[in-house]
Amino acid sequence: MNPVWLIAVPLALAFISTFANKISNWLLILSAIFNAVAGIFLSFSSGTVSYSIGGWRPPFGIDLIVTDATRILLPVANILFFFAVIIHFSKKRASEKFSVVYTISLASLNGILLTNDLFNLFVFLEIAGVAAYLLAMTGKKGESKVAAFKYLLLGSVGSLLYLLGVAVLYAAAGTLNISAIATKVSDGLLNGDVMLVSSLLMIAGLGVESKLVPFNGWVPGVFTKSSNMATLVLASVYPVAMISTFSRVILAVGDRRALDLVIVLGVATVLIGEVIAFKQRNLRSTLAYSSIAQSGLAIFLVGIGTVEALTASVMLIINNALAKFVLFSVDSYTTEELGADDLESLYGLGRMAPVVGLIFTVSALSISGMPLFFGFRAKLLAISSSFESLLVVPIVILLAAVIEITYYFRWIFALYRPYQGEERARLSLPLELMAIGVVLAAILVFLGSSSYETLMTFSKAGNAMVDAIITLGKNLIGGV
Amino acid sequence: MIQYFSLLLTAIGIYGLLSQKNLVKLIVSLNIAEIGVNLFIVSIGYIEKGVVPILSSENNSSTLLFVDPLPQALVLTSIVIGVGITALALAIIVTISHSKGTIDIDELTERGGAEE
Amino acid sequence: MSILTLLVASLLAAPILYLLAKFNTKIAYGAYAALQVFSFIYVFFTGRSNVSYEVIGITERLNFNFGITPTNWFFASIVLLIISMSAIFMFPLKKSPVKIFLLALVSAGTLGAVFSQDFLTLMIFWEISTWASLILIIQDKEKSPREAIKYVTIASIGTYSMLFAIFYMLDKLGSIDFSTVATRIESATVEVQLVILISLGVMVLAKMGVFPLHIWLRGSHSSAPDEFSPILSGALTKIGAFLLFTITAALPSFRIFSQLPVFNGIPMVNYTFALLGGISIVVGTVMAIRMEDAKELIAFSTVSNSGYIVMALSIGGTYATAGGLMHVLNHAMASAAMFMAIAAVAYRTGTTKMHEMGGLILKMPVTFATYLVAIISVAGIPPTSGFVSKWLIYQQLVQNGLPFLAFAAFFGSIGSFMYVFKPLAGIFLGQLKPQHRNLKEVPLVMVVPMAILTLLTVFWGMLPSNAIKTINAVTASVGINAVEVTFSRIVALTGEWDSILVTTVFAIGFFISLFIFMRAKKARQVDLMDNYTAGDFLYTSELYHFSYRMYRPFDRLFEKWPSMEDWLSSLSDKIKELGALLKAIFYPANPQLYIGLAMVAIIGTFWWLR
Repeated sequence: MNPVWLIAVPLALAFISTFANKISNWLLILSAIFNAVAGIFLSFSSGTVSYSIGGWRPPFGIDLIVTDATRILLPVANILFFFAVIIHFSKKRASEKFSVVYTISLASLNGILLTNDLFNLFVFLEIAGVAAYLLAMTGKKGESKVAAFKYLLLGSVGSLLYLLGVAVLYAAAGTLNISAIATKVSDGLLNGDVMLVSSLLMIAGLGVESKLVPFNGWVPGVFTKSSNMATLVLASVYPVAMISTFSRVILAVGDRRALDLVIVLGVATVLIGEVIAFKQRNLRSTLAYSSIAQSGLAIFLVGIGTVEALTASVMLIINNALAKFVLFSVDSYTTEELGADDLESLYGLGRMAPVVGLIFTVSALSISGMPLFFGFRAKLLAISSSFESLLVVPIVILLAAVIEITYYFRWIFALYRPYQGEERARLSLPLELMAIGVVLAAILVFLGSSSYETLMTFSKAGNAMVDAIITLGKNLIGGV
Repeated sequence: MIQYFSLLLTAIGIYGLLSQKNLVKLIVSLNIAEIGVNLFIVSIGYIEKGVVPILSSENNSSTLLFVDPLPQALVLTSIVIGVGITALALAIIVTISHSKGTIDIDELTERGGAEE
Repeated sequence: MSILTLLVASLLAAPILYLLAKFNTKIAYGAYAALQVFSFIYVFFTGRSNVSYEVIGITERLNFNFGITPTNWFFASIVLLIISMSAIFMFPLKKSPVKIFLLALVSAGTLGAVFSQDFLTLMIFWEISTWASLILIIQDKEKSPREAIKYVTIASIGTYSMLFAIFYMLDKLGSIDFSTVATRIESATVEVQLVILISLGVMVLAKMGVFPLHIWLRGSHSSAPDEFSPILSGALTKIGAFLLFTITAALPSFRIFSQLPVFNGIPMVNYTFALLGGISIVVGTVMAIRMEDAKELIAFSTVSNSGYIVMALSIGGTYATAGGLMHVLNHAMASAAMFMAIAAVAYRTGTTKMHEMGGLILKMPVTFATYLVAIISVAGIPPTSGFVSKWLIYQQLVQNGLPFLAFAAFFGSIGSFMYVFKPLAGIFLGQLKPQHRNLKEVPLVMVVPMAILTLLTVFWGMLPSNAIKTINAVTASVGINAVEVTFSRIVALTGEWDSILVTTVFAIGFFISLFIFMRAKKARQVDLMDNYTAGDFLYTSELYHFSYRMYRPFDRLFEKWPSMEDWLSSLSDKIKELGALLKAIFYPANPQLYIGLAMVAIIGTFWWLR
């Protein structure tokens, strides 16, 4: 199957739904189902395949690329999006105002994951950005609008920088195809300073969406002020596309020297994110800063650049996506049921609603990297590969992990502590949230406790992250 | 030469982003920066004494110098995107001014705009 | 059947028992106890002879290595003994599906840890039991989350320090299993050796609760569910001893650090650990004396006894190693027995505050006997096994001539008389409280495990040669000389210890005093309110309880001492302040500031990288 349908179908449906507002909800569901199914379908085969668009051969035209890494990330992103849509529509008062936006964001996220063209990537980033700004506005209060505006400002500056970086690179390489540029880079055909300038600009530009310090000022505002559903999508589906694309682009066309910067910024992001998250008193802002830290963790590994590091990076991205999905849905559940999500109002929640407690605990333990859960495998690989760099890197990462574990356990303890206030009724959990939460938690446990052959998919993905694009480029140049 | 001007324009735009307090002026600054970048991209493809990259009855020799058409196509796209973003930003500014009663960034961020 | 089968079975038991407990908690708890007892019996009787290894893969480079060597067998038997006894003991206590799930996970993790043959396996299974125990601790008491969070931090400091050591080893030595590391570490540079052993040492300190990482023990041990405290103190801290034994004895830390400065025949690094052990003996003892709550008191006694173990295993040598291993056994049994006795008392009275009880000796004689023997063992008085281990440790201290450590050890011994006597007097002796008139002894299920531990303590006190022979086999497997023993005697530097003779003398003394007691005038039973009020009205009767602030003069001595317990919370405040600072810098409210920051970052890094 040509993966272009993954982009085209949601886009077409979004186009239809601008005219047919009444059925836009159904069209959103339809496109979500289509993409989830197509994503799974895509993951059955393996290897790197390039699909040219419009009959132009890759170095000249735009092409989509499916690698072993895409074959994991794409289904995960699409299925999580589908889950988010289910949770969204199970609520009675789901409005159709933003359905178009969700559909467009789905199309653009798939585009970001698939495209092998720098400018095409810019276009999809902008579309995803516009969708995200609109989603950020969906909060109830005026603050969400201000947060969205900040996001827009920073996002636009970021994509401006990215565009500038692309232009510089195009001037030097004469093509926009990532594989083709990667080949030229690896052959040493490009001027080092030009490469450095374009890499820095691209790191800054992509860093805005991948939540890299100091380009991520928008994150806390948007994640805390926006509506529940929008946060769910922005915090779990977006990072899958954004962080993996960051690593794809920077690894392929980035300057070696810039990779040091990626390590520094990534580690700084982890430390800053964890330290600030430690201070937070309510769940959603804790999760927001924890998302920042997790992105940092996945990104600093890109700077190390070995297969093992990239495997760890892919695993961390997926672990974060699955676990954050559950955590943010539990958070929105508590804000709806209890009216607040600070530490005190969550006291004893795990006893009132055992399933909520269970899925929250599993996800929190997985994020903080406890054995028996997927996050542990990822963290183990991450720390193991961080020894490739300076010794201070693993030390900082481990220090940050101590802080992370402490605050996650603070929340777990809050959920399970004996509650001696006024008696609260046993809370019921919506069926779909329960089903999705249990499925995701089960996946985290399964991946955490299964044998290492099961995780071969991830090391294949890590391999693909490092190799696939450049191998394709070599073939292309050979073909021309 | 034009490349330096375009980068200067970008720098002016970014200066505006850093110094202006009015949301609309921020968007104007953003646009200026964008124009700078777009000019830069066009200038990449420009070749002195180059001709329009269209094969016609006059321009049909392979020895002719054509201007690189790709940057022009890119700029077209990026201008469109810029317009879209500007429109969206202005719409957001309108809702902000409705709900908050001000479009001064300092007032907005002082008044409960601080993150948790 | 192999260890692997046992391990998988006990891991799978967790969800199964959880579901079972949803229908019937009694069956689930029974099944859990049966599984633990079976594991103990299986390991104890079959594991001794065969040395076997099993391997399964985790990542491309790393494997789970399990095996039974004499060391594994020794620690596994101790840990499983404590867990299986507690599993029986907890039957009448409050049950819940979550608890049994976590208990099963703790046991499975512990099982994996004590059979591990490499550091990563040890760490992973240890960590499983740690996080499960963390959630278990907060199940019953409302103050527990605040206390357990300290355990979280300290445990993760230890774990990540160990994880660092593991990958550092993998990076520098190319291997992480005990035997290969032991051979390769000798040829590594001093820097590498130091980094590895110190970061593994941090894990030991954290998990055993040794100064300065002892601060979690008080809160976590005391606020844990009553049935879990014996496991926490008796079994889980002993895995720390396993790691310590591995790094000091199996990795030849004495030989590899011999080029560093040496104090009295002990390399600097080992001496530092021993010193920390010595400090925690003193700190644990002093703090234990000052506690008013029986469980907090025992928690600090655990600090002090972990100090003994760390000290003994760090200074090494024939006697201290054997003594340290013996002390692991003793303290596991004694602290489990003490916590069980206190749990039994709490089960009947509903409190662990010593001044709210009294005179329970007549109501709960077996519990009293358990507690008495356990404290005698902790204080190191013959004819209990606690004496032998301390005696062996002293032998080594004398041989090496280590005055401070010897002082700490003696201080701990004398101090332990003070603190263990307090609960004895407060809970079991004195006058019975009116509300406790109708108390009965705890049910048989609780009596049996307590009795077994008590009898074992006395048995190894009378015949320490039996235990020491086993320990000799363990030390022989890592190449340390054996302590010379005969059936009744232990031969050491300063003389011999004939346990049979001493036991006989003690028995004769006991019967003489019993005779005097029987012949003497009967004591008159008085009411609590009968004596010391002198006509005054009693408003707060607890103030008149003689064990309330029993050691007030002593307490006053140490009142002004700087408390080491607050460093963690003040560190947490510092991190929060740092968080506020970082937030002000990187996440200001005004978006222009972070656009500016981004620009500065780009230009700055361009200059840096160019």
